[in-house]
Amino acid sequence: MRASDTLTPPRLPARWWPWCSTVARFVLAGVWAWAGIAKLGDPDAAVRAVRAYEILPESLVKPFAWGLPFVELGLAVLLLVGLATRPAAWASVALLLMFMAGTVSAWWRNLQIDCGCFGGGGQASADAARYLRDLGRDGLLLALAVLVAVGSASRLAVDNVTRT
Amino acid sequence: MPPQRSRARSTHRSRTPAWTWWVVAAVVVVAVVVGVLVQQSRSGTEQATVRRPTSAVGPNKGSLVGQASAPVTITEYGDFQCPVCARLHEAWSPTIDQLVQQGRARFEFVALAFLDQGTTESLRSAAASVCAADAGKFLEYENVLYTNQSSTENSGFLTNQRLVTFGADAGITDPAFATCVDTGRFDGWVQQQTDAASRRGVTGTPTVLINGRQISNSAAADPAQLTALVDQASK
Repeated sequence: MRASDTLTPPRLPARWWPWCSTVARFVLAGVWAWAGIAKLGDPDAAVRAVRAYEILPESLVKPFAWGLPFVELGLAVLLLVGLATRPAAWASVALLLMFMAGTVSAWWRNLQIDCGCFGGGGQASADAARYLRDLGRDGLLLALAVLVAVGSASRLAVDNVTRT
Repeated sequence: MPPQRSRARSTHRSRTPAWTWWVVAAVVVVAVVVGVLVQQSRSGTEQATVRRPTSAVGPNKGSLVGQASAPVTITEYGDFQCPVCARLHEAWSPTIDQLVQQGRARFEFVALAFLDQGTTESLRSAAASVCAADAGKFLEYENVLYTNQSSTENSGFLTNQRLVTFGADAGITDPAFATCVDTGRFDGWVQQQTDAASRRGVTGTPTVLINGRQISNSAAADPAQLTALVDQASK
């Protein structure tokens, strides 16, 4: 009885986890691509959005605002094709933790800003619900990124080809 | 069990070869470099040709209305596509007009392009308001823009043609106004002002200041509170 308890449940997941990782990869890739493309449209709004957080010194605002969408697109491509999957997933974890820290910090300081996550100039009358929504979304994405980073190697990945 | 564990660790390690870390690091570095180069060349603020308008004499380089002797300056950072700005205009413009006429306050308007989403309606309407200020009809033009605001932002409503027609509605007769709007004479100026406002910590429109100190939008929209704040600032 005890043996069946420990043996039966993992059997199905063992086959399914790699596919879960694949799905998580695709979802993350889609979100990064969307976020990256949305931020490309207006470079000046991107600068204002980053500046509105009042965290980075002025000299770093533009490199961050202009580099970020391309980093997001780069991660999207890596995750989509499954190249350097785990490091790309860890980079996603780092980026998401950074976004969450920024959001918490803005909320803590009671800044009236929009996250600018998917473009826009970072202006809005932010309230608790909005901050919570952003954090919740980032938290879900973080879970997916961790799954890809430490879970089973995913199917449909270039990594599977290069390893042999 | 220990042996199993160490085997799992070694498989895991073989799954992530060291070079894959370098791939991600390289992608990040290249992305930042490419991003800065590409976006700098696309940034309106970086590429702007800035012509300074003669009317930009406010303390925050905005269009200024009222007597020089007035002890108080009310400054609005506004975007002509911003619905809250239009509501504020409706709420406070009789009070503003009165305070300006009585010489108790000057009104400064810094026109910003905050709400464009790959479009130029905020930008061109802001620049047109600077053209109107140079033609001596700022308040009239501001009134026409805010009272005729489209209910949807970036819908294509604010064409140059419409911005010129609004000028006629505001009583501008000088043909130079149409040229000023059509050629985007002050587009660069507005982009520079928008960036400057963001550096000053303006993150939203409307932002209202009395003698340089920000007041809440609800206080600004309430005639009694606004008058009291102006009186307080003039002491």
